[in-house]
Amino acid sequence: MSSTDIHARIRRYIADPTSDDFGELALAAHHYQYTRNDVYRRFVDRHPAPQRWQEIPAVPALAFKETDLESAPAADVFLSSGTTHGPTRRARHHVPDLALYQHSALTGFQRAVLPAGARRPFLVAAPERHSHPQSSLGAMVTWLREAHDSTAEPSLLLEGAVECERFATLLDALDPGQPILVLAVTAALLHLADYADPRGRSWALPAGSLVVDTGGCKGYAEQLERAAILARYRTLLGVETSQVINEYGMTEMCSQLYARGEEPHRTPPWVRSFVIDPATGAETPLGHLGILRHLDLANLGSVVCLQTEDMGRRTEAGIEILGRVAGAEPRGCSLLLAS
Amino acid sequence: MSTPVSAYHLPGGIIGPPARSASWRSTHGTPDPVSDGDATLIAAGLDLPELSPAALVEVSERLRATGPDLRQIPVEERIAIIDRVAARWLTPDFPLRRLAVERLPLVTGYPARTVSLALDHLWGALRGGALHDAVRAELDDAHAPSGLALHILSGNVPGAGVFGMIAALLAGVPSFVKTARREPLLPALVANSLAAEDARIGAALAVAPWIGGDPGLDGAAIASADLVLAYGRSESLTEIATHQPARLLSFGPRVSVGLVAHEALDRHTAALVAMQVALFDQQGCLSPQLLFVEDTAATGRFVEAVLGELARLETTLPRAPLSLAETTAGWRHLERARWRAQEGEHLSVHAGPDDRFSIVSDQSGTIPTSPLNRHLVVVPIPHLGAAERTLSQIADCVEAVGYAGPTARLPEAVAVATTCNAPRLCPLERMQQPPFAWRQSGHTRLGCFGASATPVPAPRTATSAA
Repeated sequence: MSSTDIHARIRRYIADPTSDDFGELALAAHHYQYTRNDVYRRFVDRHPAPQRWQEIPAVPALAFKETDLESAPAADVFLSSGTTHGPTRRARHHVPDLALYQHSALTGFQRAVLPAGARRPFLVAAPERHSHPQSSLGAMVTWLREAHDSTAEPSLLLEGAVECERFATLLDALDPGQPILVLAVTAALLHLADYADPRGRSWALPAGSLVVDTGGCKGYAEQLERAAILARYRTLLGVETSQVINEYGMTEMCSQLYARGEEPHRTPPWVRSFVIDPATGAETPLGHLGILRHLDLANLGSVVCLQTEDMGRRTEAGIEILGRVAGAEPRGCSLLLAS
Repeated sequence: MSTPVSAYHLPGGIIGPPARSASWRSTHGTPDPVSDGDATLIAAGLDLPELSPAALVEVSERLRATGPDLRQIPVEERIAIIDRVAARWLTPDFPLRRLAVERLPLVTGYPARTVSLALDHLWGALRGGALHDAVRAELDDAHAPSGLALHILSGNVPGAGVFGMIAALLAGVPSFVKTARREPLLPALVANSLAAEDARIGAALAVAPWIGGDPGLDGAAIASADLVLAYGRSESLTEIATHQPARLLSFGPRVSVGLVAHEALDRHTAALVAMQVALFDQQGCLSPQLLFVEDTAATGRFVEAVLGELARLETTLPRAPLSLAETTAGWRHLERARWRAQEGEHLSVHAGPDDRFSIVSDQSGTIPTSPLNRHLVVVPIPHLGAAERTLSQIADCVEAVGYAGPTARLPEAVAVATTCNAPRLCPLERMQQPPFAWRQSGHTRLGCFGASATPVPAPRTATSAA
């Protein structure tokens, strides 16, 4: 199969999941990467050759900190924030086909949040392409605004801090008849809540508004349960849980998972996610904790199957994502010098 | 459900009878079958006290008042009392020992054999001779004891912190011992056994668990003490320091290393190494995480022999169950090592079934790390002195150097231990069997309890050195 064929098939599959077979595409993507990416080939050769898509070896996400993983010359390289392991070791995701990334990001958003073509005013407190050129989230936010934002209000996140006063002013000025979309990193909204609470301030977003948050409590001093975050949003913005949608994504992955309210996250059709027991590498039974593995067809340019250190459990309705494994820190006296 | 056992020692009259607590919560908010304290402790049948800040202040005040009575007991008599208690604990059918061997596996996950060995090591070090020696070496006529010591224990190794409790008694200082949620039982049983032997000694001890990090409880206990001995993670020690204790002795995360001369690269040494790795699953600051091995043609066979011994110990001394975080840390360690090896770095991975134990042989020149839980890192070196280069980078973070090799080469091991300021150099097979007088984290065992003792700066810890 030519490189053009696999690109086209995956693009078509993202737009129309009835157009192809997921397993065949996954194996074709794996083969494409195996023949074009020496590092990936060396990794795969350490494992039995996959006969089924479920057997495609999962590259540990940590490998993106060790090596450049690209199956074609990169059009762009996205870097992780580096907050988890310090600034010196940042994951690097080489993306050869930005159009495929954009196609996946937009289609996923349109399945979970706003339909294609819909436009409404955005209030953004998240990185953007121009301010954070190395951030994959920044790229995605910019694409979403281009496709769906009916205004051009600059992001309220400036140099890592949320501009609370400007945020408050904009919320004060909302047209009650015009639903909006708040797109923000979770920490920004929590900081806004910290700003608003002592001042006795709160708002009621126009009916039909949505809040899309991402990033968990990274950048916020306290780790809050999802229910507590939703409660703070309710107080701050007058939104019900059904109006809040959480986006889960990672630098190393071109697609995203979304969860509404307290529901579990759901994968788009071109992504399969599993909960893995790190002790055995096998899938955990329903309801059991493990670490998340994603097979993302949109990752054609790097590696199709990723093993993360994010904790979760599968439920009947989707995947409950519980954040990064708690520090993954040993109990006793530990040697953490070079981590 | 097991028969209830009191996981506290609160001498009569101090406060009313404690009630089983239902208020203990998992601190990370996410249920985890291993580290969810409530379920584990209740399943082990432990009764836990319900404590308030006011109760901690009251306990502290009453303990402080027992100081003169404690010091009225001649130190020779205190040694004799402790020695008799030690002898009882070393008797297999001593009821409290049987209870510890029965319940501690439920609480800690360590197998009964590990608990038995821990008890043998602990009480074997607390016999009269060793106590006499320590008193002679560290206490003099000018010794003026502190009023009250607060011991904040960690729960990684059964019995960790008991040396400090005994030392305080010898120094004439009453102690309030806050036990860890992971292991609240053994210190309480120790205190109960001392109280049963001599009520005056028992009156000078209180042992109780509460959830560390509660500002009200921690603050009340710390403000009531003249001296705080704090064991635990760097984050915990930092939090304790924020309460501004009158005097703080920190026992933070530290590492220990093995040093094997080429003459000792044999199956016997391999078995000793594996035993030190398996005992307490590398959770203690005296457990070897790194092993420097003089590189010869025999090194590969030696590594395989250690791996074989670790496999054998899976049956005779099984590893404690791991939390998801611990399992993930082990997985990450091995995946990273395998990736680096794949990309041509100078290291190799040797692992048991399902990666339950492993040895990473690392000659990459980076500072090697272990995620603990039976994941050893071996660093082949051209000669013993070459260990100094790596260890100098973690100077003051090393607790012990365990040496295996000919006596004639001991000076080389001394040089290595000196380079990293390790408080302890010992035979490899005794790494986790410290003597009572061991200067843990560089602190004197008894002298630190003096009211006029010079405050010792907190030693560097593995984490703080990062």
